[in-house]
Amino acid sequence: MNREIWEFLAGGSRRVMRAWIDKERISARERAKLDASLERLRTLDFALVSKKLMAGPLKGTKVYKLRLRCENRELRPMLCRGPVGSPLDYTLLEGAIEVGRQLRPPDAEQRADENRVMLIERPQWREIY
Amino acid sequence: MSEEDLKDRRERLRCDVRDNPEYREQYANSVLTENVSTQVQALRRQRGLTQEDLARKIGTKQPRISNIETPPEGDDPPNWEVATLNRIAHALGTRLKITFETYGSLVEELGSVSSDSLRRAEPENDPVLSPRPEAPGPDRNAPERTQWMQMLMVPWLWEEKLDIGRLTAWLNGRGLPPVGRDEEPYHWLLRGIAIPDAKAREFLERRLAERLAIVLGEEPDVHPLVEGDAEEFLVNLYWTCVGLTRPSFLAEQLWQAYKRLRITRPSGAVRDALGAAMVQNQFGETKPLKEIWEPMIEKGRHPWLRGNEVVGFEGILARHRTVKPDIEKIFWALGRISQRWDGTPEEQTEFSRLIRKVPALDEYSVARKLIDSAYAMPGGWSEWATKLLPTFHTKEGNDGSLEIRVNFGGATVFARWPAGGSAETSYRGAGSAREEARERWGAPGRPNLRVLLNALLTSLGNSETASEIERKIAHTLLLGRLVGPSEGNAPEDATTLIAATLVRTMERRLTV
Repeated sequence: MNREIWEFLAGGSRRVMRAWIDKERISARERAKLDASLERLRTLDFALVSKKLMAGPLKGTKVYKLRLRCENRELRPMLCRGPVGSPLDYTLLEGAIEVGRQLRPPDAEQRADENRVMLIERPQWREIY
Repeated sequence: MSEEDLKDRRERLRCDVRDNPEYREQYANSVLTENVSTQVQALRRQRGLTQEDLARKIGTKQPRISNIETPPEGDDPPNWEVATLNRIAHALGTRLKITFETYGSLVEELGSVSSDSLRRAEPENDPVLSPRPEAPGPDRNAPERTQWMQMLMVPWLWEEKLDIGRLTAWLNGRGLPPVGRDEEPYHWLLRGIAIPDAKAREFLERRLAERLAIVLGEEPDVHPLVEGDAEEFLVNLYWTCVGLTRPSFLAEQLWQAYKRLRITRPSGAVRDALGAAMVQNQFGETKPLKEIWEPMIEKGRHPWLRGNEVVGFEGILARHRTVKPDIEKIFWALGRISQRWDGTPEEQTEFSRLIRKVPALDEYSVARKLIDSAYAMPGGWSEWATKLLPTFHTKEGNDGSLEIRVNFGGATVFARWPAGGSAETSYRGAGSAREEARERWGAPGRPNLRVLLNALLTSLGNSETASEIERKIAHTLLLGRLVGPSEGNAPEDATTLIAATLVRTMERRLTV
């Protein structure tokens, strides 16, 4: 049971995750962790990965955040299931970092939720990650 | 996932692993951690074990297993002991294999790990150790459409691959025998595995439970897996779980569904199906008891699930049967119900039905405890309820005469054998002062308990109301045999013998 991992395209063209990786200078180690986790999401049943790799859904939303603790900060990419096409797929909605329990950007959860709604309205605003 | 995408990802990974030592070390660490932790979890679920079960098998506590399955964030790689992992491997019917691999193998393995690839056959099903038998055929005595369903389901379950696509389609009412909407999909799913070979059926049930657990794990309650009526899908999913009764596979996922759904307001049909599924597949010894069954009994309702004291009682009965033997809790439930109810005729009938559901009531210790709990102070039954309890008396006169008297619900059945006379039986209905249906049995002779007993049973069998009375008596005697010779002077072992014979005979009659 394989799934696709998609990436939201802000404005229909800007890859939010690639932009985030550049902006936050995600290190090679951090990226390795992210890649390994996404590979597990792609290939394993939801029940096997949901508690281990993700937290959520965040209150009042259908957004989850990946849990990736790195050396001095935690990567918290926001994602959701679906929300269009196959219900088994995931879509990465927004990049985020957590340092000292503070999210960066602070409104990452809200943005992710807005991006999800946007994607439902415009299903073509995503690409395979 | 297309071949092209996989090829692209492999190429990117190949470059990262080749060019960046930090990347490859971290990627290898993450893969190691996740492979081990996920495989322990996947195998445990494949075997139908809870974390507590596995912990018990290797002589540790549940949090240790939880810690292995969900390592603390950032603990990479975790400080697992090989000896512990080895014990887990054996407990799961597998061996631990540790090898050193090239970094290039990370690229080769990309996309190869899946829920299927993590599963391992138990030694008894290991195809290398013993050839796997062919999938059993359908039940030739079953209706044609049932055979049709079995021919679909059995090979699908016999395969190792956990393809749940077909299962979700069936649960959604697609791919079933062409019968329109006159039968719910869950009926067909349960018929599809009802083959005569008990061993094979057991295997199929486990396999179906394992796949249902995967479907439940996808959280279809909050994230619909099918187009169309999502609630109908859930109802069929939960009722299939009811029919299987495999708590080790299903209980945890059903409990999680309950926790997610209880803050929402799905239809009554969904709540009823989930409630029934949780009765048959209870998660742990205390959670459903404290959160569902006890409140139902104490308040006669539950804030979310539909159900009253009777459903709560069924939950406690199923807990006793499938999770933790706890007869005292069953007696507690009867006591609380008797105190809550007023004892109307309908309630008396229902309460009698509940008493009959107490397991192993024909065992001395159980019936004795039931009677003790009924008369306990405080906490005993309401007076109206104690009157439903039958009493059983024997009396042996100094002249050798015998009398058996069974009282239940105000009615009394007599069997007497005076010295030098014949056995005779009679019945006195509730509220009546007159004995009816007096019958004599055989020629005068020396009173004999067994003969008298048979006379009593035959008399009951001949009477017009025999069926109802037989049922009452059968139930009565399950309890009455233990009340003892409170009025008579027959030795206790004789009393018990009579009652036991009565019970066995009555049970045979009821079975017929």
